[in-house]
Amino acid sequence: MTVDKSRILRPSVTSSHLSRRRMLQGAAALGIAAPLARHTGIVGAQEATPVGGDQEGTLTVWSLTGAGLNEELPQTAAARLTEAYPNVEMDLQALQNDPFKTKLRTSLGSDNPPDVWHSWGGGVLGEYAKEGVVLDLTEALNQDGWKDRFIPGLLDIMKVDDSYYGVPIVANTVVFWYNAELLGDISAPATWDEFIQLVKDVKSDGLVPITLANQTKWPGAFYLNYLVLRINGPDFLDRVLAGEASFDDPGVVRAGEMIQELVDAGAFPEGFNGLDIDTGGSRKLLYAEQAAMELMGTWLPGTIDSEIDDFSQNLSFFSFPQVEGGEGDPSSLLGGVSPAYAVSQQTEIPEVAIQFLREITNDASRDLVVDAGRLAALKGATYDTETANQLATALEEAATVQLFWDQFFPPALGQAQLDVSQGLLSKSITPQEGAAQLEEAAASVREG
Amino acid sequence: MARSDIQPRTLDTYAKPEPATLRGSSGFQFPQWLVAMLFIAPALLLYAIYVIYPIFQSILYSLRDWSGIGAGTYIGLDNYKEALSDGIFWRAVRNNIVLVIASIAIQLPIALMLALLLSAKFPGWRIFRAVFFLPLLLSTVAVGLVWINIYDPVFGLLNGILGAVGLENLQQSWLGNESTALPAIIAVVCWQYIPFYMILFIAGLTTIPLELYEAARIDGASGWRSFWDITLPLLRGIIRTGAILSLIGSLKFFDLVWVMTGGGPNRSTELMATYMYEEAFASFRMGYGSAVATLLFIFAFVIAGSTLIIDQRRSNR
Repeated sequence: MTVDKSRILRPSVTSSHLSRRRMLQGAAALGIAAPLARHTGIVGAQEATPVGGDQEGTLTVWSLTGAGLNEELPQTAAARLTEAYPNVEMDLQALQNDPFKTKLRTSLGSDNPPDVWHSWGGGVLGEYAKEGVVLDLTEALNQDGWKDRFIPGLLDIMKVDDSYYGVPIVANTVVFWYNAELLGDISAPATWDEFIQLVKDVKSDGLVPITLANQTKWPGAFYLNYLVLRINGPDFLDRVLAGEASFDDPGVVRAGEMIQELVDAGAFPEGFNGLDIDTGGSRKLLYAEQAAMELMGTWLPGTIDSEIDDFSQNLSFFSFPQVEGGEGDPSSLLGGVSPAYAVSQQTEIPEVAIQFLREITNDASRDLVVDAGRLAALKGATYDTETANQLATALEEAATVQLFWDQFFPPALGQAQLDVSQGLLSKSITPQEGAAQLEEAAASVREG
Repeated sequence: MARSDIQPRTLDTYAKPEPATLRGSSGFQFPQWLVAMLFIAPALLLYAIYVIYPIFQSILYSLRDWSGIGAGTYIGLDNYKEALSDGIFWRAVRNNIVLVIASIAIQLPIALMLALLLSAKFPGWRIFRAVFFLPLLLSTVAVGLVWINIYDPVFGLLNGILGAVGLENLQQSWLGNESTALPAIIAVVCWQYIPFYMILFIAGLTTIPLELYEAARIDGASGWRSFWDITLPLLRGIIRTGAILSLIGSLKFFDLVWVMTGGGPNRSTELMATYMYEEAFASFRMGYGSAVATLLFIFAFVIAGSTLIIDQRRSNR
């Protein structure tokens, strides 16, 4: 199954979660920002564009479905764009995650791709860029300081061989969330040993230490991704792809051993490999106060509040612990961007498409992200909750942001690491076998 | 005109116009096969475009190393070689065979039993028929989601009931254990599809003349005797049809597994169709996925075809 972070965050923002005040602000921002954009050119930090009346055609935009940011961002950006380009017709299409990925790939291979589309960056975008179906945005980004609007590490997720092929809007990172009501004031475990001790303590209190729903495999893969980042350091994956390093490495084997150490400590719930995250398999245990922690993305609080009002207020977080002797910087984070957007090479109106990207990464869009309680990939956001502030700081101060492996690698290797993760977690393979299987998959990517 | 002129033309003459032609207004006669073709053509065209053509197209794709964009490279039979030495593929084949056997061995007998019970027309049988029929009417995704919750290890109905009657040691994480996941799914497959065969058999039972049972009773045949000697032989054709439908359905099976386990944990519920989907649309190995699809097609075609031929020979004898 394809990795689907956006599907679980879909319900996170609906108008019912926005206070009346925020809605008014939002409406005001939308109403005002658009005229300002035209007359003063502050939006998107670009020079005052004359009304682009000479541009004609239809701009097709494919986004993901969802009542929240997935659809709201393109809709509001399109509304602003229409004012600047009255002769351009906007065709916004929202698709479900899995059909989206299939349909996009098929249409990018055809003569009739969408002009602008949702992307996750990383290996898949890289593959498209190498096929020559994505528009190189480097030149546009260098104009008017557009590039400087982004948090650099996150914009780099859209970079392939020194060229940028997309722009990110929302940032995600993965941390340990815990129920502070249940655990009380714990001190965040700084090292793996302290973390294992915490797990054992929570276990002896009769709780499930860490909830996990791993049917779709990506939630459990966070452990492998993070441990290898901590142990082997930030450049390891690049070196593996370049053939300068191998997955069949003592560090990767050690990561497997540590995952199985967690399993042996009883960290996870009964039958976690059969629990489905999309239907709340892991969160049910949090709600019943039977489980204390979950290693999950920053979309979790929003998802939780869409299921149980205000339950996320009980949540605090700590970063993935450091591993003694590891080469990774403990401030490094695992994360990704979604939504991000890219433009087809074949578009007939590249100027309009790029202007759409400028609109969807401007201040009004950033404010939408912040209001939704999510992290912006754009600089200068001010967050009004303590948690969001801490996460944003962690993200900005992170030594590196490692993209989720299933988005970093080409699809076949991305899937292989999901299988290895599930195998390690269910102890159906040994750490040595896991490392060997990863290397086998990496080898076929290098050849291909 | 003398009345006698007409007389030789009997009613039969009018009732049976020449069978092989239709008469156009000008007197031109369309051959019957052409008329038949004209009626079949629209459906045939759709079938050719959406079923036949894709089969050949995916056979062509299966000869390439292709990620879905670009042209890919022609690699001959390499995808097939890989599939035939791929442990996961064979595991999927084995799971498919288990599903075929379990479906036929469980669904058909239970369906026949229910059909016999309902045809006894006891008071309230209509209500039971409606209730038994319900699972078939539900969307498969909804069925899958309901059963995910029934099987939930902590909050699920099944473990709850086992706990309530003191069978805690039978409690399982049904979909989370590699050993129980496939049987758990097969139970749901049966639950959903038994009603289909039940209705098929009820329809079959109504075609058996009641006189046969009366005659048998006069000759002293007991209930079992008339079941074995009248009901079963006369239902043979229907049972055969049911078995072939079940066989092909189980070979192609996809949706419930996809919803409930996605083929996991650790491939323990992987079927050929789910493996094909994962390779083609998650790993984006379209060529390899097409090869798996083609193998699935060949298996289903050969098995269903040989079943039909064997059956044909038997009934000719």
